[in-house]
Amino acid sequence: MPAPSLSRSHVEGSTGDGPTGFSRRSFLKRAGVVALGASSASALSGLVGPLASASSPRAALAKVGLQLDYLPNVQFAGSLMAASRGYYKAGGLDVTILPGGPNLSPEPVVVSGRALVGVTHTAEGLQAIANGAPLTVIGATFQKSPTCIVSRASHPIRNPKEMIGKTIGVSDTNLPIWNAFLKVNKIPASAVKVNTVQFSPQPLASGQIDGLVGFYTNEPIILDLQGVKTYAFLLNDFGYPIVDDIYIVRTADLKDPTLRGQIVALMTGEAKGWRAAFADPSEAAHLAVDVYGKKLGLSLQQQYLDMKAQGALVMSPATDQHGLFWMTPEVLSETIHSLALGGTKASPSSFTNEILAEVYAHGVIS
Amino acid sequence: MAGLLATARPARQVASRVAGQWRGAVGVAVVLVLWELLALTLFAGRHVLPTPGAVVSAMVRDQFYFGDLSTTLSEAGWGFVIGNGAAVALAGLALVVPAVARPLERMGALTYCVPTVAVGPLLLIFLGSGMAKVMIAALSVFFVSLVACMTGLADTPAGLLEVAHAFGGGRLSQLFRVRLRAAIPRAAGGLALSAPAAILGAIIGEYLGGTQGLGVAMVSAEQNLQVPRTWAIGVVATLVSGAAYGAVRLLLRLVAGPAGTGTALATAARPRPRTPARRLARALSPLTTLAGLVVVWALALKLSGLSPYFAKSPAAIWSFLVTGPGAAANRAVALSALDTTLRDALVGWLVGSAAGVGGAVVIDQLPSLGSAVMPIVMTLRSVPLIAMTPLITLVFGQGLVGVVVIAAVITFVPTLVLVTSGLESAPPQALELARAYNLSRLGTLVRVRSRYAVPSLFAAAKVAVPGSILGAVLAEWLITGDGIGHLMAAALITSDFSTLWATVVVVSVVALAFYEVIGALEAASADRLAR
Repeated sequence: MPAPSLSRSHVEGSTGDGPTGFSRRSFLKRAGVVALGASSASALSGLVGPLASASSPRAALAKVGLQLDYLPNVQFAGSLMAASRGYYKAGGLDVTILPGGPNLSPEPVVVSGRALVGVTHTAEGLQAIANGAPLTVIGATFQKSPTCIVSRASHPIRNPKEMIGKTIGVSDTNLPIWNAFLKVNKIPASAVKVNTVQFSPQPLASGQIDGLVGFYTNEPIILDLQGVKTYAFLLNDFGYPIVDDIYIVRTADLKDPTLRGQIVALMTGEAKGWRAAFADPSEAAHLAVDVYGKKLGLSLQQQYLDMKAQGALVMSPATDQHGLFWMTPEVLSETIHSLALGGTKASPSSFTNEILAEVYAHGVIS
Repeated sequence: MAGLLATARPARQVASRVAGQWRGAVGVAVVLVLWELLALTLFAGRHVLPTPGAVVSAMVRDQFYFGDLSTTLSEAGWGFVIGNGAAVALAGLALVVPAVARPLERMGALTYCVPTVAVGPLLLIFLGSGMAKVMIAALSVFFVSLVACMTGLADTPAGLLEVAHAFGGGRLSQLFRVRLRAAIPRAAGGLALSAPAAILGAIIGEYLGGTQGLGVAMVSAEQNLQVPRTWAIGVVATLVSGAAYGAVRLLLRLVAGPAGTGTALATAARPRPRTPARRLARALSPLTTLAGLVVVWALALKLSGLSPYFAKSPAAIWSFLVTGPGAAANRAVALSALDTTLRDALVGWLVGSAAGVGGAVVIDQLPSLGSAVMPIVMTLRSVPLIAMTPLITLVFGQGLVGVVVIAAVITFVPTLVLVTSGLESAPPQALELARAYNLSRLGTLVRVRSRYAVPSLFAAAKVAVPGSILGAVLAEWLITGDGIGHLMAAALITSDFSTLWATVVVVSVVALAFYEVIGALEAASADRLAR
């Protein structure tokens, strides 16, 4: 191996008004590698990654982390917008956006305090709470979960009954949802063949599977752009209503005045960011493709279409009335019922709108 | 590895080495042509195998993933330094304090087969994202390097040590002045292999997320069905891993002269102790190691003050698996998953080892074929398996065969390399004798060389058995959705940290048991050979 590259790696543009990361010193302290000595210390800090930068002294800004549940893209358009347009900064926050990945669970990251707020999938988050994670849900991005069954338009699967006798690709992440969905539609597990898939839609494109549990805003658009016409239906429309991409915080943090203030400020940034993203979807797509996800090789067209498709799932009459992310009693009781079908016992006390009430204290952000 | 073989036969002339390189080039060309044909025929329109041309153009368009590469290499580089640094230091410690040698070796084996898939998320909590990736890379290199260094340090020629002693050198100065220098050539094979391993570890670490890095780019490309891009990243990762291997080998050769036969991957088999008391002590020793680990685990958790929601203590896991309510059910789940994983690993190991031994025999019999195949084998070692899974599942299906292929690939290379060098380690006198008796090449192999390859077979098993468990778990995680790999992934998704820790414990204990059994067999065979 050649001498390890010691240079700091940057994504141009991602550090301007964007998330400025943990300082070198705090990173090293966390990493517990101070003992490696001063000379290697400066080199090691290169590992913090492109979302971090040597921050100029901004004493007034509080440093906090926001843990996403996947790689940065328009699924988190509100956060990217908020960082880029300075909405977090306006609330006195210096937010580090911590990207997720296929092998990352946001819950432990939030519990450990490495992130103040996390974005996670509903079934995962509530199962974590059931397993003892001291977390509370403070809002939901998607009023209707984008989870869907995608199939090829040439062999469409139009409703749950049509899955019988077919092979469906389900990732480990989606397994709890999948089981609940079968149950609510009274389809015995033995009637559908399940293949474990990762995050690639390739098995569907090449015909190894007939259908795939995916995200309505992702796989159908990706496949369409690659010349594979698709059909997709939302689980939400077939007996499995559930919110998705919920915001989680440590329950104890809600009682700490300082941290609570920071959470309110962060969520205010999110609300403004999402509104801005819907107002200017091309800007949101551009931020994902050229700035925050610059190295991900995202397609501008796909991200733009994805952004547009999210509108119908994030915004609803309820969010127009109460503000984005608001969880009405009806939506909550449906979500809790759907979770129970998948074996996850969720209590209404695990959800609260009190942060959002503070965010929208002076009127709904639109 | 081509270099390894070349230096193993110093008598070879330059001309034949050049011819070998030509054959290597021909081997690569054949692969490229086959690839193109397959992409245009069998795999056309299946979004799996792009043509080499499409891959190259993706590579050029994306500027060879320079930014991603520098991120991954920086993680891998630090992992390499930390993993090897620890390996060298602990190997040195083992030499000065021989009592710790065995426990260290065992702990090394554990770090090798405990799946980074499961440990990654825990490391992330303890260390943060950047350091977690470095640590995964470090864990990927530690064991192979530790074994290489321990063997290298132990095998210093006695003459050199006597000279050092005569000049008044103590144990420590012997270590630093004589053994370390003498060890480098012997440890070179293992150290060089750890370079691609570090890169692979960093890529797997990047599955924890990030904004750049080869692993991150690969995930994104796969998700977006950018097939040529996925392959282009895989090819870049492979080439860089290969280059890293070559560079480390070259560097070590410059520092310490020509490499030895490469057998340094093998652990030194210790003859069996003769007295009953010592035998008992030795049989109990793995348990002592385990007990030590449990104590460290308990203390670390106590001192760290982490949330018991994800940081499970030994007592909690004991209750989860043995004494608590529902322990029987938890145990049943874990054991049935273990059953599947052991089947996957065993079949993978058998296939990989058989292929490895077969390959070594072929290379011995047809050296010219060997030099054509070796670059390809070398490449196989550096291929990021994660990138290959779509192809593997398409070709071999999602059942046992796909898993076995992955476990076998991991097993195959160390077996081939070690058995090849074992066959070559027959002393010149024995070979002279064979020539005098006019034995054929095959006869020499069967009657002479095979005897000297037995220890390397065990040495290979010591690396390959943990490797096959690792491969099986990885494949279960990526492909089949059963076994321990799936149990771990599912536990992580549902924040079922009791199950996650319990599976780590179960895999560790089983791997350790296998490691001990092979060690005992190895010692027994060393006994027989010594007699």
